[in-house]
Amino acid sequence: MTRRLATRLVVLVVLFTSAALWAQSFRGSIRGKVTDPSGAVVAGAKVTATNAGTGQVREVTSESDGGYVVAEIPAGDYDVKIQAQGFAVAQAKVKVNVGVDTTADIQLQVGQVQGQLIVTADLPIVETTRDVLGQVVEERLVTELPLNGRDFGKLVALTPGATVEPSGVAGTTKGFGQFNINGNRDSSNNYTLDGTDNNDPFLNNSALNQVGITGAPASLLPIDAIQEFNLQSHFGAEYGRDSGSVVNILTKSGTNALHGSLFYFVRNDHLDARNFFNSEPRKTTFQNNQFGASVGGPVVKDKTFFFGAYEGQRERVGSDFLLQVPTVAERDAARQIALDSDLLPNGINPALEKVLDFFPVSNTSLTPGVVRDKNDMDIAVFRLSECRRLPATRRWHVRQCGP
Amino acid sequence: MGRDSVYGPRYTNVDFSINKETAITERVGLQFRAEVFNIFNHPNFALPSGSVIPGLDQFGIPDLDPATNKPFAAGLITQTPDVAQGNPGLGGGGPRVIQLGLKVKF
Repeated sequence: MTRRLATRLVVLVVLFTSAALWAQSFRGSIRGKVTDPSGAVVAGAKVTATNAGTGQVREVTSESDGGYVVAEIPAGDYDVKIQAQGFAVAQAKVKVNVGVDTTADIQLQVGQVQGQLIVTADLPIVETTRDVLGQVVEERLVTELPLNGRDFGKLVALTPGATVEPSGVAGTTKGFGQFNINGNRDSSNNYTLDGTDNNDPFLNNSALNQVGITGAPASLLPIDAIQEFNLQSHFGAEYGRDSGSVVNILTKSGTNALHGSLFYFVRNDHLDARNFFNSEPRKTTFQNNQFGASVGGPVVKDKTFFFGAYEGQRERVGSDFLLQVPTVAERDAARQIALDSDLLPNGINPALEKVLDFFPVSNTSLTPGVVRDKNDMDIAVFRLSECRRLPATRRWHVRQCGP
Repeated sequence: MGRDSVYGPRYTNVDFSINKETAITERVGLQFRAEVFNIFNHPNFALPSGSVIPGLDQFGIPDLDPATNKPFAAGLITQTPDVAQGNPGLGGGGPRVIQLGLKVKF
């Protein structure tokens, strides 16, 4: 009896957890309509969606209006198979993105033969199923676009409605990753990482890739660990929290195949142009090295997967400044004060000259100098995901992969 | 003064990259990347100082602009955007810079 109660409690917990996931989705869904060659709806068609990477299978049945929804599935490539009595089996390749509904309408062909109809459904240019606006930045864009310092935060500028104030003056020292969406303040953005809160509660900006002492990110989410991210500039009420936007970042998950990368990126002042305001004969020191690796694969085929990534950064940077030093007149004044002082009957303490020698000689009280700074960062990300059979409901068979 | 009656300098930036992928084996590939930021080396400027009345530093001495040794003048631009955000070289708006990368993918 107690055991049964415990089982029920577990089921309840699972259900509530799933409900929480439904509330703020970092997954995607496939929805569409199954029709016959004449355009009439086909009810009761079996729709099977299989994740090409992890083998995760989800089955649903089309409703009386021909519509079907494969809800809350991890982003990735899916093979969708549609079977209905009296029709040829149809297949579709569907790409599911984070926080987006992908529409795949299927028209079945008549016949018993194993004929195949391949439909490719990709990211919709305009989403017609939800009243949201935004931009999915896919893995290809994240990894292939040039990114100075490998900071994904700079990719937010790809979204329509996003403005980035490059000088960072208005946003104080918050750096380039800060942005305004549709005129909202730069602290009005809600950052989530794999569906969990990723906001700094004090500054109200992204906790990851947030600037450190100066404008350089103090922690960098490795580019190779990002599957994609979705910036919703006009989002559904389920996200809440902020008036600006939702930045939904999804990290990679392992798949049935072993995949990974090994990388090294270098920036050096020898390859850089001179700063506009630098009138010195030499360029200011700059060296940045970023290196790391990522690997993902199966632990148990079709069931448990791992993914890990590491990135290190070694940055050496100099900033040109004009520094204040004692003028020649001020040096003489210091010696005079020492001479006039009654406290020094034996003349000037020789230590005074040594102290004055620490300062470069300048007639204007200002001398150019370089302030050297360094930014060393190491970050590791690890993710274990497991596909587990949840209690099946009447409408669909659930096999959920959790992060 | 009306809204938008004062605005900062323009911001012009074009980034460029070339990637060369070489297959080592069927599964392993090598990628060489050359990424150029602000390829035309177009100068960009940070917002100017908006302060007209000079402040005092912690010693009670008027806070002077180190570039001119005069009180900060409103409207004077002294730095590029990347320096203004305290991130010279990596922040946006600096001079042309080049980043080279090597990546093994499997």
